[in-house]
Amino acid sequence: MSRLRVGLGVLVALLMTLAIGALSQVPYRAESADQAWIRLSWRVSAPRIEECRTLTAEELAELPIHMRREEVCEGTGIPYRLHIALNGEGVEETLIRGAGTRGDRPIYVFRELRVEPGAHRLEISLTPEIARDMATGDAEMETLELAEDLDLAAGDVALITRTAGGSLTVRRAEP
Amino acid sequence: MRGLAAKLRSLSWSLISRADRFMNRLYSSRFNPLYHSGALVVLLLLVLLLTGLYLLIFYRIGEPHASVARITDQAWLGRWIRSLHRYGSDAAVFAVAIHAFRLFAQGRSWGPRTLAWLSGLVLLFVLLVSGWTGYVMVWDVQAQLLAVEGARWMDVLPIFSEPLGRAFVGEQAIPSAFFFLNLFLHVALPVGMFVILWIHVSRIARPGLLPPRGLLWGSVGLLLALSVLWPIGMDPAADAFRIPERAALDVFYAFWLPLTRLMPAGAVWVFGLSLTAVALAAPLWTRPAAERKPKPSSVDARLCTGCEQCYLDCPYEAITMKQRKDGREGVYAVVDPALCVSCGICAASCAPMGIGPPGMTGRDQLERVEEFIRLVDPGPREVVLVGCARGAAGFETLGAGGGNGGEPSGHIPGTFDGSRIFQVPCAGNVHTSVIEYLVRAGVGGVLVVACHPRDCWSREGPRWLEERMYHDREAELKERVDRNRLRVFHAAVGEDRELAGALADFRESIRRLAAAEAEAEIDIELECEVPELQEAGS
Repeated sequence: MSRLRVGLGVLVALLMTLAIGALSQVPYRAESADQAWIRLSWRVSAPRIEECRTLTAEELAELPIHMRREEVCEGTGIPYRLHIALNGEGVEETLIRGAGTRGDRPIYVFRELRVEPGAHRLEISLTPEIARDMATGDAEMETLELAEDLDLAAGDVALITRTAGGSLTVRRAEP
Repeated sequence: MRGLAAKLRSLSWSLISRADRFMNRLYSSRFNPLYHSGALVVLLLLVLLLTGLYLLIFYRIGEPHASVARITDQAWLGRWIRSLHRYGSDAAVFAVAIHAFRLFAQGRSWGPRTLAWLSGLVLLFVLLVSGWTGYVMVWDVQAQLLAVEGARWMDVLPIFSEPLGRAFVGEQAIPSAFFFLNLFLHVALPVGMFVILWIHVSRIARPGLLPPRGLLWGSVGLLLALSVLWPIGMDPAADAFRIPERAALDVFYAFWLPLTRLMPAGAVWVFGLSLTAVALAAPLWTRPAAERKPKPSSVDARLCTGCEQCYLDCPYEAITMKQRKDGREGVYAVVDPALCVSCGICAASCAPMGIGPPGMTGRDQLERVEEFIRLVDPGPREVVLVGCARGAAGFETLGAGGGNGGEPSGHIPGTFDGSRIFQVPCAGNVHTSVIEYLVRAGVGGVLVVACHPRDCWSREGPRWLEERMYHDREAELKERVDRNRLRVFHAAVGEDRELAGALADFRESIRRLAAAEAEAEIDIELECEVPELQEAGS
């Protein structure tokens, strides 16, 4: 093997190794830090409303023995209406239902708003949407509301979530 | 579909063979890393295992970023080992990609090789997922991006009642259980990889699991040097309350991230699953049409002596020896068609010529070589090339998968630099009787052109060829054949210059041999006696 070939071999090996090193840590700009984010993330256990009735003797007789329950209930979780306004302008108005096929899993809110840095007025409400004919019985309905002035610097993320007491609050990076 | 696959393969093969030639010139075929891509993956997995054990001692799931930062601050061992772990894993992905691309280009992705292809894809997937968990372990900005992106994909599936993504927004501290699960996966998946690796090579008789020593230490040494001279640094810790603006992205494991972040999660699933389906279905769309599919070997039990040589030589463990049921004592060879790749190596290992794929048995070869001699009628100083169809003397390097590599009957043989070529599907398929026949027919010399030993499409063709020619392996070339008239040369597709050089050298050797023989034929005594007779007469 000539010296030139050996030298070229070493050079190619070094270049390939360096390429592995370079490709292993390529600078990547994932997001623009010229913005600020407002994140909404919390959950609410939506009360379940049920309509129960007693089956007649004929109806019971039609059922197999092991399925003869005198009272049957059908129900669902109460939907909630989410309203978000930023600087007085409505950003979102959505009806949220509980997850799951019966709609009785907890309701969650998980949103991300991208805003310009600076002062913002944020108003949020999450209220139960009860239809007129809905028999709510003695179910406890939570209404969550927040009205807050936020001063966000570039790259900041403000998280709107619930406190241990259940009310909405704003969490920011610890200084 | 098959037409498109063939074009794609042709293009891939063109790229790979060029790269092979370049690397052969630089490092010789013995140390060409492209020929050892699979073995390099195993080596790198071992490097990852050793370095990973060290890192595991110092990693804390309760403080992931801080513990990795402490490892990185260990100016000597920790920093280097972490970097070697990282660079080694990157090189492993690179080697897997080359290995898969190479086998696809060579058409070794269907039929009996389907299991190896599919298990290889599973290995790649597990390697990528294992890498993903490794990056999340560090819990820096890149880890945050990967975790959030992964959660976004999962959240589109209707299996969770609440989005996983909420775990990473800072609503609550990320539970240690998350990092424990992540660590568990990062340890368990590589262990599983060794099991899949075993399946991957289970149909190969003698898998080459490690590269030659020079390449082994060279690769580890280069990665270690890179780790020392350019150690991996620490990105800032993941912070849910700061926008993750910049990260040092590892392209080998997170190449998809910039693309998928622009796509809706549903589209990512559709795209990813489609790509996976195409890769998994490769054994279907890369296989040749039924009429071009090579037939598996068959055994003529009457001729089988039960010597077991074909059973020992088969690179794919497709042959078993079974007790005879025809009244004769002993065993005879049986071929499992599901495992046979029709390489024809067994045909050359059988002295009585009782085994081989149709058209490729020793008897078929003798018929062909008879016809070859009749058509070509080579002179006593002429060199005939016996060339592997996939090597430098092959007519059709992409004949793999279709045909048996031999020329059709009556076909005028091709030439290389003026020498006729007797083409065979694999050098390991050449029965020694063919060589003997050529020499006894008066050919000046026989140059067998095989692929480089680590690049044999049938794995062990060149190795067994050499053993039969020069080391008396069963079905050996008989002693009566003059070895001076025989030479074996390894040359890949496109290595025409190298082959031309070897051919010229061999021709010169044959010319000298012929001259020496001519000289030996002179009857010295007779020459000396003439003057005496003349004297007596006078």
